[in-house]
Amino acid sequence: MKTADPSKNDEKLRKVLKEWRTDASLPPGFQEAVWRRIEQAERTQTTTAKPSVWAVVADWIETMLPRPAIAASCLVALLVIGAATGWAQARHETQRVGDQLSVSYIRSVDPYQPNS
Amino acid sequence: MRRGLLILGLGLAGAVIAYCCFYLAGTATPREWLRSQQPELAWLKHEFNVSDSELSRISQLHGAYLSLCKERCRQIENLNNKLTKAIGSAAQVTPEIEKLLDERGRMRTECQAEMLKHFFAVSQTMPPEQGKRYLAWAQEHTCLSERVMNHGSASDASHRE
Repeated sequence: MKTADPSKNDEKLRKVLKEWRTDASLPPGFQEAVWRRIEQAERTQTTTAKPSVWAVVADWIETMLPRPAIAASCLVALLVIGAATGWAQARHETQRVGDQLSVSYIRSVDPYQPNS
Repeated sequence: MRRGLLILGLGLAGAVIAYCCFYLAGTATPREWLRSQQPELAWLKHEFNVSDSELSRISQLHGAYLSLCKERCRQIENLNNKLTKAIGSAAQVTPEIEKLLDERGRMRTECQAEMLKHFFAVSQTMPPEQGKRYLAWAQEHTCLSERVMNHGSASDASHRE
């Protein structure tokens, strides 16, 4: 199947557009409304030019994190942070229970210890 | 984005699991103390490197000491009540009050002496170095170390002549 020549179609379209006339009048304040929308669009563009923290994080997650080296480093860092926090918390808890039991032992053998 | 979030989620899950594992492993000993029948003695065993047989002997000493200690406390409590009554019905120090004060003082001295005897007995049950450490620790933390005497302080202005 042979398609029509595009240059012939363009010529026809140009002709039709030249002959086209409309009597419909523009609604009141049309021009102002158009300019207002343009200004609004420009303002929005200016605001989005400064990306938010979340946008930066999201962009980093999307573009950087999938890289194998960064993904591996991130996983290792999170594992180390979790392990270190757990260990520190455990040491603190052991110390607390030990102190509590030593006081409890002393109170059991020494009736002159204050109750509080 | 999905892949990045997946990696982040895996990392966070790993961190939580690592936290739980290390926390549980690190608190295994205190949890064992608290599960035992006498947590204080379980702690003592750990703190002063006491063996099982030594702990069993210490438990016997502890039990025997506590029953006698309670009896002495009861006697001191009786003397306290008698003394309160005697002071309430007197206008000056009577021979009865003096006798009660004397008796209570003797009971307190006996109480402290028995406590010290108990500490010596427990320390002798432990390995020598630990026994020494235990004695020093017990002396420091009990009423045996009455270091602060209001009237003995050189800086106490109220008792200067």
